[in-house]
Amino acid sequence: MDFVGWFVVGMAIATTLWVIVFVGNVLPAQLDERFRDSLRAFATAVELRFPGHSGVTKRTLELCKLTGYRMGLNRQQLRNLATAALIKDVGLCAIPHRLLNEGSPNDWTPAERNLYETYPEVTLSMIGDNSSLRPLIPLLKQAVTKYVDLPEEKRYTEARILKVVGDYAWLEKQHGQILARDAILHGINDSYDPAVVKEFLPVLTSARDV
Amino acid sequence: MRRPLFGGRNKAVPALQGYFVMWSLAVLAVAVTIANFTPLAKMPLSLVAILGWLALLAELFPVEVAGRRIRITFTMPYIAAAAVAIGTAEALVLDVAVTLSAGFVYPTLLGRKVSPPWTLLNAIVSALGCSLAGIVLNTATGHLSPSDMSSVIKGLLYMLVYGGVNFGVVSAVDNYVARRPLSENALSSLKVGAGALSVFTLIALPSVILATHQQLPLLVLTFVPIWALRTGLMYQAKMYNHYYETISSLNLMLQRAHPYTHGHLERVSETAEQVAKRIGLGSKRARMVREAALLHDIGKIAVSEEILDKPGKLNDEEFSHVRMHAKWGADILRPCRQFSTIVPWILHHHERPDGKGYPEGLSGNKIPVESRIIAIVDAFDAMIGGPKPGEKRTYREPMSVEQALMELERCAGTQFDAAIVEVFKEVVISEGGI
Repeated sequence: MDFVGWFVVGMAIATTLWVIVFVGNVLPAQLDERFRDSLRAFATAVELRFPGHSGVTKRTLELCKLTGYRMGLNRQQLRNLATAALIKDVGLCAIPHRLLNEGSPNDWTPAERNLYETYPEVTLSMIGDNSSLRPLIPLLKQAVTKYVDLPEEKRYTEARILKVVGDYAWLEKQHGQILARDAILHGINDSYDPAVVKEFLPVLTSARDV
Repeated sequence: MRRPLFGGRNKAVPALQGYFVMWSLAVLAVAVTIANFTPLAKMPLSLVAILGWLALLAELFPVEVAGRRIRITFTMPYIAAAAVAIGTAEALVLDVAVTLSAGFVYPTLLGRKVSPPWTLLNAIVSALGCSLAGIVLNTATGHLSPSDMSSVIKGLLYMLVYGGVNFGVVSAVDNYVARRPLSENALSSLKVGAGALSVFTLIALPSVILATHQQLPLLVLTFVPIWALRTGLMYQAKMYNHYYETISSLNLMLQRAHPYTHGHLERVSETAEQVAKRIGLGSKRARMVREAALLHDIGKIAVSEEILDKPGKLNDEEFSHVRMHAKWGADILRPCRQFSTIVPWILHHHERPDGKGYPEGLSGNKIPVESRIIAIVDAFDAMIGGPKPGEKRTYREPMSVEQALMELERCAGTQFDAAIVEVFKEVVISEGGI
C-alpha cells in the first residue's frame, strides 16, 4: 500500500472508533431519554385528567426504585420496574372524568366500581399497540394480580413490588400514610408478597420525606 | 428493492401492484448488462469468496424500518471492492448472486414467506446499478494507472453511480407503488444526512483498497465498522418508530377519554397537511403540521366529557374549563423534547388574528402559521361533523360543506387567517370536501 492507501485505512480506523463510541453510548442514551420523555407525557396526561391522582405516579416510581434496590434487582429489572410504574395507570384515561374527580370512591355504586376496575385491562390493551412497551404486558398483568393468584412459574419480582407500592401510593394519597400502611400489612400473603412487604416497610420509613 | 443508504442499499417491499415496473426495469437491466458485459477475468477465488460472504452477511443483517416495510443493507462496499479489484462484470455477477441468495435465505431464516417477484426485482435493480456503474467506471477511469489513489477514485465513482441508480429507481418505484412522495424516502425519514453518508464512504473505502491488495484477513475486519453503522441505523429506526408510537399512544389515550375525536383528528390531520403544502411549507414541515393536527386536542383528555358533550351552550365556568385544553395539550407534550417544535403550534391553535383568541390572545402573524392552518381545518371539520353517527357534535347540528365554507369566509380576517381560508377552500374544492 502507498501513502494514500495507509491514509485512507488510518482515517477509516479513527472514524470506526468514533462510530463505535457514538453508537455504544450516545445513541442508546438518546433513545432512552426519548422513551422516558414519552412516559412522562403519558403520566402528565393522566394526572391532568385526574388531579386527585397527581403525585401518585411520581411517588410510586420513587418507592419502587428504592424497594427494587433493596431487593437486589439488576439494572434491567430496575428499568422495567420504573417503566411499568410510569405507565401502569394510563388506562385511567378511559374512566369517566366525573367518577374520579367528584365524590369519594366510597360512594361509588357497584357498577361504577366495576367500571373503575376495568382500567388495568384498558392499560394493557393500550400498551399492546406500542411495540416499545408491549414486552411489559406480562409484568403489568402480574402487577394487578393478587399474590396468591400469581402463576407458580415465571413470577416477576418487579410485578410483585409494583403491586405493593402502587396500591400503597394510591391508598396513601386517599387516606394517608397510616391507613395505607395498615392496608398493605393486612394484605400480606393474600394480595401482597411478604418478602416484598418486608423490604418495602423500611423503605417507607426512610423515604418519608421523599 | 434497494436504494443506497450511507452508500449502502435498502429495500422497499410494499405490495407490488403490477409487474409493469418490474418488466420495464428488467428489459433495461438486460440491455445495459449486455452492452457492458465483458468476458469474465480469471478470478482470484479466495478474494471472490471473502467478498461474496461479506456481501451476503451484510445482506442478511439489514435494518428494518417498521411501518415503512423497508429494509436497508450495507453490501455496497464489497460490490464496489469487487468491481475495482476484480472487474465490473464480476461485481455484477457477485451482486446478483448475493441478492438472489439473500432474497430466499433472509425470509426463510425469519420464518416469513419468500417473495420471488420482489427478490427478482431487487436482482434487476442490482444488475442495472452494477452495469451503469461499470460503464461509468470503465469509461472514466480506464486510463488511470494502478495506485491506491486510483482505487479510491474508482471506488468513490462506482459507489456514487451505483448508489444513485439504486436510490433513484427504488424511490421512483416506491412513489409509483406506495404513492409515497419522493421527498419522504427512508433516508429523509431516518434523518440520514450528508455527514452520515461521508462517514459511511470513509468506512467503505478501505474495503476497496484492501481488496485491491488482496489483504484478506484485514478485509474481513471491515465488517466491524459496517456492523457499528448498522447498529447506529437501528437506533435511528427505533427513534423513528418511537416517535410515531408516542403520537399513536397519546391519540389512543384521547380516544379512550373522548371516543368521538378519532375520525375528527384523522380528517383534520390529513387536510391540514394538504393545506400546509399548498401554502408553500416544505414536505417535512407539512408532515409536522399533520402530526401536530393529530395531537392538537390532546389537552381535551383533561376536560370532562360531560362538559365537552353537553347539549346547548356552555356557561362561563364550563367554557373557561374547555379553553384550558390548549394549554393542557402543551403541558402534556412539553416533556417530550421530540415535540418541542410542535408544542407552540398546539398551544396557539385557538388564537385569532383579531387577538380575541386564547390562551395568550396573540394576533396576526404572531400566531404560528401552523396553528392558523389547524384552527381553520379544525373549525371546518367541527362544523360539518363526521360521517359516523357517534362523531356528530351533541351541541350542534352539522352544517353542509357549503354552509361551513361560508361561515369560514364570514370569519376570515377576524377569527381565521383570510389567506389560509382561501387556500383551504381550494383544497376542499379540489378534494370534493373532507
